[in-house]
Amino acid sequence: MLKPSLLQRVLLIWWTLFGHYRKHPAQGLFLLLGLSLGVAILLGTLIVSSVAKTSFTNAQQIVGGSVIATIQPVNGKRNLPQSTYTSLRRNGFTNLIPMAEGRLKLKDGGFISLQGIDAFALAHSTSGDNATQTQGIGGFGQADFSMLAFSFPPYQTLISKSQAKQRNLKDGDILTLANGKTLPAIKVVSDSLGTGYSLMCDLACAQQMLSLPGHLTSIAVTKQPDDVEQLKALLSEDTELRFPSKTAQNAALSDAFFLNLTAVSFLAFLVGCFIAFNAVRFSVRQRLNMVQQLRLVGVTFGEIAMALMIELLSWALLASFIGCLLGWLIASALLPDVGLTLVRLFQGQNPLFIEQMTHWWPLALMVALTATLIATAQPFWQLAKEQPLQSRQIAQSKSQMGYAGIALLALGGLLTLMPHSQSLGFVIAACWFIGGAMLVPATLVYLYGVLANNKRLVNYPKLQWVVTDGKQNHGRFSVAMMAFTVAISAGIAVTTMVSSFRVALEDYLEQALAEDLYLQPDIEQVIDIKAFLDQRQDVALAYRYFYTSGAISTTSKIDNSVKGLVRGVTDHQLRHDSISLEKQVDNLWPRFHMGEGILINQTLAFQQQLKPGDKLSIKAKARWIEVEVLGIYYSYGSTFSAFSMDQNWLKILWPAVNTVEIGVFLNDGQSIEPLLNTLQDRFKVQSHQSIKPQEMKKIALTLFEQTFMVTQVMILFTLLIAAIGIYCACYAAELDKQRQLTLLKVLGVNNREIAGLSMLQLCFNAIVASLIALPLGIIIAWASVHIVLQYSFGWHFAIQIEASTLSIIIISAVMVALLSGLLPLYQLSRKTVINAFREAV
Amino acid sequence: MIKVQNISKTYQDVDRQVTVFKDLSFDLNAGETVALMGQSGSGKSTLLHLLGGFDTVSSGDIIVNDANITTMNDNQLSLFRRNQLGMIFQQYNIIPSLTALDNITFVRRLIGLPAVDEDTEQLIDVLGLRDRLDHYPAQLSGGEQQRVATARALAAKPSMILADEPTGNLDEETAAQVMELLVKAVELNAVTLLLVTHSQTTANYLQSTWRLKKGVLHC
Repeated sequence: MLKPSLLQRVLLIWWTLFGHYRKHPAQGLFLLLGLSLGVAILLGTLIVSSVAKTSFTNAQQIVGGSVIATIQPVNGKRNLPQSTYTSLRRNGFTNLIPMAEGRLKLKDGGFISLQGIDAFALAHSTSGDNATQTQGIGGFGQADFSMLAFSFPPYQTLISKSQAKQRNLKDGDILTLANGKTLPAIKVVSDSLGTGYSLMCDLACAQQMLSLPGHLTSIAVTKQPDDVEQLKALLSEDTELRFPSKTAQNAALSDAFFLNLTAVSFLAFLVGCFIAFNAVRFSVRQRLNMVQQLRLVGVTFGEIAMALMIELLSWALLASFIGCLLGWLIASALLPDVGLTLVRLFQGQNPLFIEQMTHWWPLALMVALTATLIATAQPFWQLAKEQPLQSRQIAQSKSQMGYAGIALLALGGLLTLMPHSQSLGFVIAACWFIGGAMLVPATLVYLYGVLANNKRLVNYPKLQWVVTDGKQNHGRFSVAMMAFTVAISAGIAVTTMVSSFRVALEDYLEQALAEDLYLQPDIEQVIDIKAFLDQRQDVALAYRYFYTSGAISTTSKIDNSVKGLVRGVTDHQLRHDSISLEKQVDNLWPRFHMGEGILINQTLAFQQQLKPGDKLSIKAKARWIEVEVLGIYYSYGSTFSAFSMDQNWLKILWPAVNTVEIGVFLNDGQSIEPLLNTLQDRFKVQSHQSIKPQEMKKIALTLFEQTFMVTQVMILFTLLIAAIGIYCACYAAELDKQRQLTLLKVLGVNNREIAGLSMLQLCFNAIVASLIALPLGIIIAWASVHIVLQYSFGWHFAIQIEASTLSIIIISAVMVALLSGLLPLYQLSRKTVINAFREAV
Repeated sequence: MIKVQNISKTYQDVDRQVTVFKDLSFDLNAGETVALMGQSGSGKSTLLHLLGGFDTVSSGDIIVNDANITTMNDNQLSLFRRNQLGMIFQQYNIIPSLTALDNITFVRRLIGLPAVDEDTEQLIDVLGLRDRLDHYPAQLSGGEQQRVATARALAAKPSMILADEPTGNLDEETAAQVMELLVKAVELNAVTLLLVTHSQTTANYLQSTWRLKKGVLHC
């Protein structure tokens, strides 16, 4: 007789062990579901992030490579002579794009934003390395030079597809301005060309339409100049080289957005692993006897280990297939939203990525293997080393797990005292996550123990069963409740993070765009217009906005000064209300306007480790003046140091500073249009010299809403996975309870009563787990925002706790847990007692 | 009084229908103790399960104290078991999370009787469980667990006790001990007892022995 080979023996053992899943297909399904969903969500997010980031990077490069700086008019000037540009080019600075931008009123009363660009400069700037990168995703890459036709007769006005759709425009349409002039014929172009909200035309045309002959509004610098100082020296005193402000801010917000996405996906991945872990652990519990039998008939530890390894790899391979497919579907579902929002926010576009899926396949396999290892390694090891006739430990190590949980929570707390870093933030969050989850079984056992000690419980035998069963058989539901806790706290953490981020952005817009009207008239008119506005009944406040740059230093380190933006704040409640303060001293505003101190932004506070009450020095009039920090206001994405001081004091310290900028607040119920018409009639204020911040705010809010839609979808996915996790975990635990419930049936407890008892126990477990998950989720969100975000970007926002949302999450989770118990109970009620006994675990 | 009238039990086994027994009829009087013997697979346990309402008959009626349990719904069956039936399994089947005393008194408390009365105290003494009342099942030996199961079956004073190989897992000495105590307790309470066993020694403790052979009952 031929002796079977090792492989044949191992395959036979594998098939025998796998028979368990043939008998209990739900367990196999849950295991596969957990692994696949974990892989899918992580992979989906990585694809979305990667594509969106590429798109964002490309979008930045569209207008002739990434705009790294701009040359702008200062000292009250609104434009700069075109000769500045030609002079710079003659001196060897060629990576420049002259631009004329402004708003124009249309005949129908609407407004457009027009951007005039010099096609030759654009072509030059896109002919370098950047063009090669942008090629194939649209934009003015080398392949698309034909698009530069807009600068040649018969000329064209370019408009992005999405804008054209919004404005109901098509190729060949002619836009007529309020003054009767017409723009060149409309040409609808791909969103990827980066025209964004503006309409784009030839520079000369824009100069004519905006009444800026021979002048530019800015010059974009597309490549880091070799000699910045030389470039600066060539600029007149009315022009300034400014490094990123808006772009950098958007990048910071964008990075924060991606960090959010990645955090969400990792949490979902973790929940997926927990689902799988729970399913494996349950199958291990049920297969211990089978393995003992195998060991009794002479199967070795090695053979069982190899068989389990085959099983593990099979699951991983299958999960990577399904996960990759689901990940692709998730990314496909999300990308139109990402595309839409990023196009509008950052003027980018997402390339098709389907052909790139092959690149993601190895990653999917790696993620699936990792997830499978995390979920199955420990239970499988336990199964493999099972000895024949080994007496199993009845008492669970719940107290050890509880102590380990407390230790991890404490460790996380202690780590917050250490110097913060991004990685430390993740470690702290992980400690709290795992520690909190480990605390749940011990807490439940403790609470059941307290209830069981109640002497009156003996009068209620069914209730007594609920309590004593909960106390003694906690091993059945401990992993389920841990998975439940992880799932809920992940949902709470993510929801809290995102809703806080949303509130922060709304506050930022409220702060940045608080006025009803923003004017930038000619320098000669500023004083007259301000005086005119002061007399109007419909105007609540008109103020001139002064700002400059200044050096700041902490008193102890005068030599290490940093440059920052200095903003003036007038003494008016409306101005005070537009500044969102994180921390402040008592009696802030009177002290502020008496010149006792300044307000600093979060970035400066974080960089210099300052808090209210600290002293720092500002350099003005060639000397250092010591001031007190009276408060810290939110930076909202700004990576630059800035501080605010009383405006009158600013004018005393920097007497040369002038401004053409006027902010106007209207009284409640007043319309902006009559005022704007009067200003245009009386002071000839051009349409491009006025901005309606409220309109911009509305647009911006819409954009952020759409951006957050993506995150919301991710949260929904996470919550869905969490719900599936809760269901799977509780379902497994309920199945494990069947024998006990059948026994109650034998003793005369009917199906309805059994369902009630089982639900009561499940409900108690779920509520206790939820109560632990709630603070856990919030402190994890806090760690993510205050440590990870703070350290990654230098700013953070206040945590907003939306009680209603959190209540919905918890109630939904408890409902899902209860639902999970219904199917096993229904199945039990349909069986005869004797069949239930036979089939019970 | 138990009246079994023309009961049949068939079940589907993959592709064939198996008939366990057909048109089985017998009476069991109050206080009567009967041992039911037969080969493995003869349907002894199935008959016991049908009498307890744990399984459903294919046809026929089972009347227990004038009530037909074959037509009862889940709620009525539960009440029947709670009030009239005591069940003892080979695999003790006591609630692991309750102490011995709480297990013994569980059904009494379920019915609304005081947890312990004089008869219960006597039962505990008769079954020799006085010193083990605070112990959990995991802390008891097999024999002790079976005695707890026996006490639980008797404590609520049912009219009928069904026992499915109650001594099958016990050594001879313990089995004899459990049987003596069971019979003593049954006689004390005038309970009807139907006990499935393979052991003639066990059967000898009871008033009569019935044999089930090829679906036919030989009384």
